[in-house]
Order: sequence, then structure tokens, then C-alpha cells
Amino acid sequence: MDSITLALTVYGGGAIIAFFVVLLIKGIFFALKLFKKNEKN
Amino acid sequence: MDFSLLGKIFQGFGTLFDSPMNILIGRVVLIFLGMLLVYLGKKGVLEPLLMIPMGIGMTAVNAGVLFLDGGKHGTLFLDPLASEPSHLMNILQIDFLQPIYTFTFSNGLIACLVFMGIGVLLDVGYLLARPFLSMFLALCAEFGTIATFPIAVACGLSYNDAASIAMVGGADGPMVLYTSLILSKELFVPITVVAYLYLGLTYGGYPYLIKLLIPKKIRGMKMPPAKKMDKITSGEKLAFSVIASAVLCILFPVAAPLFLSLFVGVAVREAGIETFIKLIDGPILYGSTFFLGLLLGVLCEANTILNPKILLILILGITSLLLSGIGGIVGGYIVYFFTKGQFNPTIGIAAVSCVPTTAKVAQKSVSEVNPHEIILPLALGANISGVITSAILTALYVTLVPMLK
Repeated sequence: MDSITLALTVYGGGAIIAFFVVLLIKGIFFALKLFKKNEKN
Repeated sequence: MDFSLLGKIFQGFGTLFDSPMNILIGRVVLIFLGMLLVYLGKKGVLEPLLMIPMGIGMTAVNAGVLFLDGGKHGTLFLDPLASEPSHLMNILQIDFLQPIYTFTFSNGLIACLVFMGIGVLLDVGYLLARPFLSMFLALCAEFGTIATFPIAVACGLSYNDAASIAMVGGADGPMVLYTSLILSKELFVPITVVAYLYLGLTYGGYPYLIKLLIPKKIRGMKMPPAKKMDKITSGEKLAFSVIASAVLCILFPVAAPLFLSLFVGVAVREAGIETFIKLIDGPILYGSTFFLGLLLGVLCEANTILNPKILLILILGITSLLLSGIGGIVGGYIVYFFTKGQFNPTIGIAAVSCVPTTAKVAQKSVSEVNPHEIILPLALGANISGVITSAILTALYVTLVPMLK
């Protein structure tokens, strides 16, 4: 693998993982809020 | 009086004049450079917490060289290259800083302890309030970390050394130390020293980059009031730290010590365990910062640091940091244009993860033009995302580069 491909792989991989972590957290918060809302009603 | 006898009595001078010319000049320059670092630390130009122990260590180690067995030159501080077990056991009982170096520095523990302290200082609520915006800016501000890697390879460095020097663009000292310890054992001293010197310069240098790239009118712009966000509770922040730690550790076990250190700091803070917060925020963070500075200084012995690659490392380090700063500002401009001028691009520079320096630099640059404009919450969100993306990129480099062998 040449250096540019490796750099782009690291960047692309980093971006995907960073957004994956954010989406995961957002998903869990959404589920928690939905659960609380349903409990109230 | 015989001069060789004088040289044996005052061995600092004796070894100086017994050295090759490049080492002699190197030692003298490093003695005065150490004094300069102490002065700049005292004046607040560079970070005093790190530069004062580092500067005095650098001066002392280059002055205190003596003749060892067989006429070899050495010091009684530490030997960073000792690895053979019986030699190491011997050195541990002679060199006074060797135990701290061997048991905390060369295995990355000190980097993890500093990272734990950073974790306690982080309020991830700023990140969780605007996660996508913060992560986008942070990824833009990693431009130097990515672009410097192929540049360094083109300049003749190996993939391992190139990845270590590229990490300077992440502007996170513990991360550079961790990467270079794993990937670049022979060059980790010069790379880490250069990284910490440059990180000390961000506070002085980045404001000029902001002034160069962002017109005064845009810098001082008034942003519309933020939409009311749901309050992020400490329970949510705690959940974030536990889940993010687990996910990142399962993805990259090789960088798991870094992730654990950062998120255990966040978890302790959000759980509100005051005694642990005081312990990590005080003795652990400041104790490890002090010994990190002292060890970095002591490692700057002319024989260790005068590597033929040092000039290249100096150029690549500043390139990486500069490109990351430019990347952050470009990210800020992208958001500025997407929001039709409703976002201050100065916030972009805060995504370079030097916590909390770059966030303070961004706020200071804005306050100089418009004292009533507060961008710090947004800047801190980007700043904290920067720490997390830097840790992810570190993990990717230390996982991928050894696989290419």
C-alpha cells in the first residue's frame, strides 16, 4: 500500500468510526428519551 | 598544571573538550536552549508547567556528562537506550531518573496518566450538544495528521517514523508520545521533544494564522443565538464515556490504554466522585506533567537528540501543525458557507485538539474584535471532538502501519 492510499484509509476509517460513535450515542439517547416519554404516557 | 588532570577533576568540561566537534557544539547549544526555555516559560511565551522542568533538565544533562568505565561519556540521569535486562538492572540502581523512565515513560504510562487528567478536565456535554458539527470540524482539523504522512514518506522517512511525526498535527502530546513509543523507538525522543516544543508554540502562533486567514469582519461577526438544546445530564455523559470507551477498545485494542485513560477520567468526573476527581486533577495530572517535562529535558542529551533526521523532524512537525490549523479554519469556512454566514469560522481552529489551548485561542481572537461575542461552548465542543478523533487516528496508525511489514 503506498503512503497516500494509507493516509486516505486512515482518514476515511477515522471519519467513519467518529461518526459511527456519534450515531451510536445519538441512537441510545433517542431510545432513552422515547422510553421515558412512553413511561409518562 | 596538566590540563588532562583538570579535565578529570571537572569532568563536565573534560568530556566537553574530549567530544567530537558536532557533539561539543550540540551540548553548548542545548545548555543555552534549556536556559532559553526556562526564560520563555517564565515569561508565559511557552507553557511553563512543561518548559521549566524541561529546560532545566536539558541544561543539566548536557552540562553533567562524565567519564564512565572504559573512557565512555555518559550521565547519572538515565540511559534511554538500555534494554538488555542485566544492564538495565544495573542502570536502575545507578541513574537516579532511570526507575521513573523505565516504569512510567518507556511503556507509555505517563502519557496515559496525563490523558486521564485531560479526561477529568473535559466536559463532553459540549460535544454531545452538537456532535455532528463538532466531529466534522475535528476531522477537518486532522488535515495535518493525514497530509504530513505521505510528505514524510516522500522525504525518505519510514512509514513508522512518518506516522509518528504526522501525529504532531493532532496537537496532542500524549498521543505523539504513545505513537512514537510504539512505532518509532529510535526516533521517539526527538519526535516527542519537537512535538512538545511546537505544542507550546500553538498559543503564540495560531492567533497569527487566524488573522492571516479570517478577515476581521468575519472574526468579530455576531452569531445568531443557539437553538435551545436539551440539557445533557451527567448520566448521559457517563453513558457516553462507558459506551465510547467500550466501542473504541473493541475496535482498536492496541490503543485501548489511551481510550481507557481518557474515558475513565470523563467517567470519574461525571459520576461526581470528588475524591477521585481531586486525585486525578491534582497529584496525578500535575505530577505526571512535571516528570514528563523533566524526563523530556533529560532525554535531550546531545548524543541522543543529535540525529541526522532532526532537521527533517523539525520541518515536518511544524508543517503538520500548520496544516491542521489551516484544515480547522477551512472546516469553519465550510460550515460558514453552508449556514449562509451564520457560523464564525474562527471556531474551526479550536478543533485542533490541544485542550483547552486552541479553544481559548479562538475565543481570544474573537474577543479582540468583538468583546461581547462568546464562542467558547462551540469551541470546546470542537476541541473535545479533536481529542477523540486524534485518539482514533492514533489507533488507526498504530494498527495499520505494523501490518504493512
